[in-house]
Formats: sequence, structure tokens, C-alpha cells
Amino acid sequence: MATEPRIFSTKRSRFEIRDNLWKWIFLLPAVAIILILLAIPVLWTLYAAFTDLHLYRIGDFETQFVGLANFEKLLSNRSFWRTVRNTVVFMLGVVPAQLIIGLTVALALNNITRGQKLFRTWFLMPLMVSPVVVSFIVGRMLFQEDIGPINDILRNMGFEGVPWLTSPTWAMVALMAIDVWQWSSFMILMLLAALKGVPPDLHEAARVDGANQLQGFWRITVPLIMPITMTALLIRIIDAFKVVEIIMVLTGGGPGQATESVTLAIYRTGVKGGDLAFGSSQAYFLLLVLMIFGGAYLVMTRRAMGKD
Amino acid sequence: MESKVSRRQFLRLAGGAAGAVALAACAAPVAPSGSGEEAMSQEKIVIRYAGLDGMGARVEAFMLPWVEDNGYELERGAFGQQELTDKIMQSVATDTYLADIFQFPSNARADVIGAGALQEIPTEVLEAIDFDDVLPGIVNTLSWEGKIYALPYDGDIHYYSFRKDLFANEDINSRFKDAYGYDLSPDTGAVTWDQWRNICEFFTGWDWNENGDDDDFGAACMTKRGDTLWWGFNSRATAYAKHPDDDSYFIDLDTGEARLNNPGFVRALTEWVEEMQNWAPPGGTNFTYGDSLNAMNGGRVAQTYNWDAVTSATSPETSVIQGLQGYNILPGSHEVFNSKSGEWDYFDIPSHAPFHAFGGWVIAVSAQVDELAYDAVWGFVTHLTKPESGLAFVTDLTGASPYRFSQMDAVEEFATGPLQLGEEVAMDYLNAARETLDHPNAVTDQAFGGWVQYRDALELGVSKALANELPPQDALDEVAAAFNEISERMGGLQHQAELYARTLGK
Repeated sequence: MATEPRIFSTKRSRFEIRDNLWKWIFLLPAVAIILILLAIPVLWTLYAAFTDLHLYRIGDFETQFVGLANFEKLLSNRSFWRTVRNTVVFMLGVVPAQLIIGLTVALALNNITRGQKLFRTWFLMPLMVSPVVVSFIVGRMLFQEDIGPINDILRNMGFEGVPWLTSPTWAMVALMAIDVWQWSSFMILMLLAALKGVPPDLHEAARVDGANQLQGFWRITVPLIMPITMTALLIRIIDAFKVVEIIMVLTGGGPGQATESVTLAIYRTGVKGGDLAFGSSQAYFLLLVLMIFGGAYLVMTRRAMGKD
Repeated sequence: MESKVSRRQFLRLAGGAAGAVALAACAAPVAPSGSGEEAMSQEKIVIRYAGLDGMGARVEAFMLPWVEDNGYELERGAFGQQELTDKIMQSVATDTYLADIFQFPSNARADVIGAGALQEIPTEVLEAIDFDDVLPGIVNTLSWEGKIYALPYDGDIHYYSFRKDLFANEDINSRFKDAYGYDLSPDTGAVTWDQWRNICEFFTGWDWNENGDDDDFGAACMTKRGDTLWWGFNSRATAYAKHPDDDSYFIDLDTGEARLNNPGFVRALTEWVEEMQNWAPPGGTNFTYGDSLNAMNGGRVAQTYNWDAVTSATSPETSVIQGLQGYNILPGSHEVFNSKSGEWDYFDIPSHAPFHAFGGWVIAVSAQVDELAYDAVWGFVTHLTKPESGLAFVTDLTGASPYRFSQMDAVEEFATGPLQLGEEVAMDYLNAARETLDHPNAVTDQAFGGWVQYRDALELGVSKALANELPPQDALDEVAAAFNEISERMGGLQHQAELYARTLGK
């Protein structure tokens, strides 16, 4: 029986081993930094979630292992679930709006021939401003109920002033408006990049075949920009789940608890309040939700795009 | 000949260079060379101070001549209010060095002193700054288990302030008397919370500030969660919920059970919700303390209660009511809830329970003070808090309020100094400060361990009531349940009751 000639040797040469050694030596600092900055805090937080660790407890108390007690408390804590509901409402309000605005503006920018760079820069400006500054200037000043310019304009037009920050519904609307104003730019940037990647030849060919503009958009543009769109959506959904700065500055989570997000609740419990144990369990809940959602989203996206 | 460096060679060279730099960094420092003067300057003692940005800048300006005269250097860490508290609490909890001297909120004293983070103040320092001159209400905020761990800087309390000029107006007064059956008093303002409510209602909805706009209201208070709601609500509640025969207020000193849902607190919240929804400017249920001050100083409300009632009201840039404002102790009540009997007790003379809201920023020396700077640090805090320095601070536009007996007598300095209060307003202000800080039924701010969590729990419940999410009783039931749960997590109800007793000097 003839044997096939060995094209590649499976035995690793001394050179290869030495080469791999160098690779590992150079990788080591990066691995160590990742371990220190990521793995240790993540594992430590996991440990804290199963204890009664509290930063500000006075007296001789030993930190105790409490099993699932923090997670049980989490499940029965109405305040926490209110923050989950608020966060989901916020996310559902801002992400679709940003997608629609982002796509509309990106399509317009992609089709104009003059001043495209100017408008592109203009639309990206909100992205360059700190969320805290946006919340203070756009939020606290514009939406000030008593002497703010929006209510002033409304009153001068004969309407009632809107209780932007004292009505649970309007406070959420004000927060959404700020977030949409700032982060639509991100969608514009991503979708414009995606549109630039669509080859014009395809549209020309479709036109020759008798397709109108709408058909060209649905059949050619949308499928081609879909991968970047889905990625941008995922980034924005995760960001919306983690929203905290604008809420802290604008409403502080109020009125009542109407605008308190999960991340703000974690910050208040763990960082400010010092209850690291319960704060850690809340943080792990958020991490778990985001991981499950992110994983499911990616699987569904790949299936929808026929890559599975 | 062209010489090329391969990627691998480059990486090896870079690795070698990085290693050499790392070895050099790890090597023993080279002894300073040069003249003796250079060596001396390198060993200059540095005093590190952490404090609020604004107040710290004034401390720096005030202390710099002293620092330079003594050949020291000053490094000042500047933080925002919440950031400073967070930094201090985290440095205490993690036992890390923040500064030699820091300014901290006195109601964190159980957390900070209880954790052993501060040096006890030496007797020589107490003598040098004439500590006996400090009012008892302030001494309590500097002490823990009978020892002094901090030095006074600011006698922060809530003052009731009102529009003296409007209350003295005969036409306004006669209309008020027709409606409510008694005179407005330009000397005292509202003496009870019932009077406060009448004034709130009366001054809402007509153009008493004569600017032609529909922007006139009865009162403005600090109501925003995450801002200063804790103090806004407690100042409103103490007169109903703090009985003169009972030392307990927040929790029961015997059992540790929360008292926040008793009828005294519920009445205060019910009335407050009505006042802020109906008789405060738009957005009044979500006002920061700055918003409430601005409403008063902008001439849009007839009364308020706040801390820095004087400084901002005197500046023409921030106020249209210079010299028109009167000050007094917070209003009282004829009815006070007695938690022991479960009944309302009636008092012929209104019972007052002024709230030492926040209790003031205090100056302390870290247990981790740099040994080289030890003497310099104590010299610094002594100079900063001695009577002459204290008077200079509280009579200037610093936002610091008086805290010494001697300052209460310094009418002239307050009347004609940088604050320019005039004698009548200065007298009002100082009388209110003295009466509040020296009052036998005054309420010490919450300072037992975990105050940040308790504060957040109360603010959440009260803001739910202000937003009509829950009725006051239900909102305060939630607060009380949260208080008890926090107490359990902090070591148990009894443990927290013991800490509470210590913060009251028991």
C-alpha cells in the first residue's frame, strides 16, 4: 500500500519553539494587565455578591458568606425591579429613535454632493460633548420648568408649561430627548460608513433591470448595511442599558423613582452607600442580562443574515 | 548599503530597551547633588489638604502667607461636594492616604472617626484655639465617645428666612389679617408651621413683587432627590416629630426601630407635599437647594429655609432682596407627636426643634499624616481654626456660618464687614444662629454609621410622595422598612441605636 508523501512535518522545529516563546514573552504583560484590570475585579465582585461585605459597617464585624441571600433580596426588591423597568423603557424609547434619525440623516448625507463634509462634521458634534455637559446645558437649563427657555416659549405661545422634571412621564421624555440628541450622531456615523460601502454598480444594474428606488433600497442597500446596522444597534442597546450620567445630572432618578436606572441604583447601593455585597449582586444581574441578550442578539442576527 | 531591521529584531530591541528602562526605574535613587540650598528645598515640608473646591480656595488664600512664612508648601486637593465625601469615605474604608488634613461633613463622623481614620485633637491645640468658645451644638459634631477629633470651621444649620419688607407692609398685612385673623410679624416671620402654611397660601398667585409677571409664590424648599432633599424634609418635620422629653428622632434609642413613619413625620410630609405642589414655583417638587435660594433671592417667594441664606442674599449679582430679608429659628408647632405615648401633645408655647441640618464642614487631621509634616499640620489647623481666623471666615463671603459664642456677639463685624448686613439683619441672623445651635430640643443630624444609605432611602420615599407616586403614609412606611433593613445590614437595630446614642453625646 502506497503511503501519501508527508508534505508538512508535525514535529515542531527548534526555531518554531523559540519563536513561540518570544510570542508568549511579549504577550505576558498584556495578559497580566488584563488579568489585573479585568479578571480580578470581576471575580472579586462575584465573591462580594455572595457575602455581606459592607464598606461602612462600624465595629468588629467579620465578612460572612451568605450564599444566595443577596440574589434572593434582589428578586424580591420592588425598587430594583422598578429600575429595571425604567431602563428597559428608556432603551426602547431611545434606540429606535436613534436608528430612524441616524438612517434618515445618513441617507440624506450620502446623497448630497456639496457640503457633505461640513454637514457630516456638524452632525457629529453632539458626540464630542461630555454627557454631563449635555445633561446640564441641554437638560437642566432648557428643561427648567420655572424659567427655562422651552417652557418660556410655550407660555408665550399661550400653552401651559410642561412639567419636564416633576412629572414621571415627562421626566423620562426629557431624558430620552437628550440621549437621542447626543447619540443619534453615532448612528449617523456608523450608517454613513455602511452606505459608503455599498457599490453604486449594484444600484445601476438594478435600475437597468427595472427596479425603482424603493426596491433598490430594500433589496440592495438594506441587506448590505445590515451587518453594520446590527452592530451599531447592539452597541447602543448596551449603552442604553448602562445609562447613568444624564440621569444623575438631570433628574437624580426622580421624580420619585420614575427615572432611576439599574446602573444608577448599583452606584447608589455599592459605591455611595458602601453596600458592596448587594451592589455586586445587582451588577452581576445586569452583566448576566446583557450577556444573555447580547448572545441571543448575535445568534439571531447571524441567522437572519443567513450566516449560520 | 541599505540596512533593514526585521519585525522580530525590532520587537527584541524594544523589549530590551523596555527592560533597561524598568531596571533603571527600580534602581536606588541617586543622592541629590548640588548646593546645600537645593538639598534643603528638596526636603521642604509639604502640607497636603483635601477640601471643597470653593471653600478650599479660600482656605488656601487665607493660609498661604502663614505657610510661606513658615517655609512650608501647601498642596491642595479640590473636589466637588459629593466627590469629596465619596473620596473621604472610600479612603477611610480602604485605609488609604488621601491628605494630611481634610475637610469632611460632620455627619460622616461615625464612619470616619469610628474607623480610626483621624488623630485625636491634642489638648494644646484645643487650648490654642479657645475651644470652650465653641457652641455646644457644634462641639457635638466634632466629638466621638467624649473625645474631640475635629475642629470647627462652619456652623452649618438651616435658617428660616422671610421677606421682612413685605411682612411690614401695612396694606399686605391688613389683607393677610382679614384672611387669617392675625398679623404678619416682620420681626419673627412664621413662628409655627401653621403660620408658614398660611403665608405660603397668601403669597401665591398675585403680583406682590410688582414685576407684572405671574411669578409670585409662597415658598421654595430643597426637594430634589440626590441633592439636599434629606435636609429639606427633616427641617420641615422636626417640630412635629421631635418631642422635648424624648431624645430619639430618626430611630428609637432603645430599640433601634425606625420612627420615620410615625404620625409626626406623616403630617410633615402630607403638608409639605401640598405646599410644594401648590404654593411653590413650577418645578418646586424637584428643586435643588440652589433653586430654592435663587427663588428667594430672585424675589419670587416670600419665605424659605436654607443654609447659606446670608452670603448669596447680600450680593447684588445674585440677589434683588439685599437688606430685605429677616432670619429666625425654624418654625415650631403647638402639637408634637409623642412616640412613647403614641399621642399628640399640645404645647401652649410652640415647641421648636431646630434641625442642625448637615452640621457643618469640619477640619480634621488624618491618622495617616505624613510624619515629616506632623508639627506643620497641627500648626496649620490651629492657625486656620483659632478665633480670629474663624471670625474672618464667617464674616466674609465664604458661605461659612458662625459657630462660636464670640462670633454671636460680633454684630459690628457682620453688619459692616464684607457681608454688609446692616445692624438689624445681622442681629436677626446671629440670634437665629445662637438659638438654633444652643437649643435644648435641637435635632442633631443623622450621623450614625451608613448615613448615605439612610439618606438615600428617605429621599426615595419622600420624592415618591412629592411625585404623587405614593401617599405620604405609604411612602414613609417604605422608608421605615428600608431604615430597619439598612440597620440590620449595618450590624443590627440595637447596634445602630448604640451608635445613634454616641452621635448624640450619650
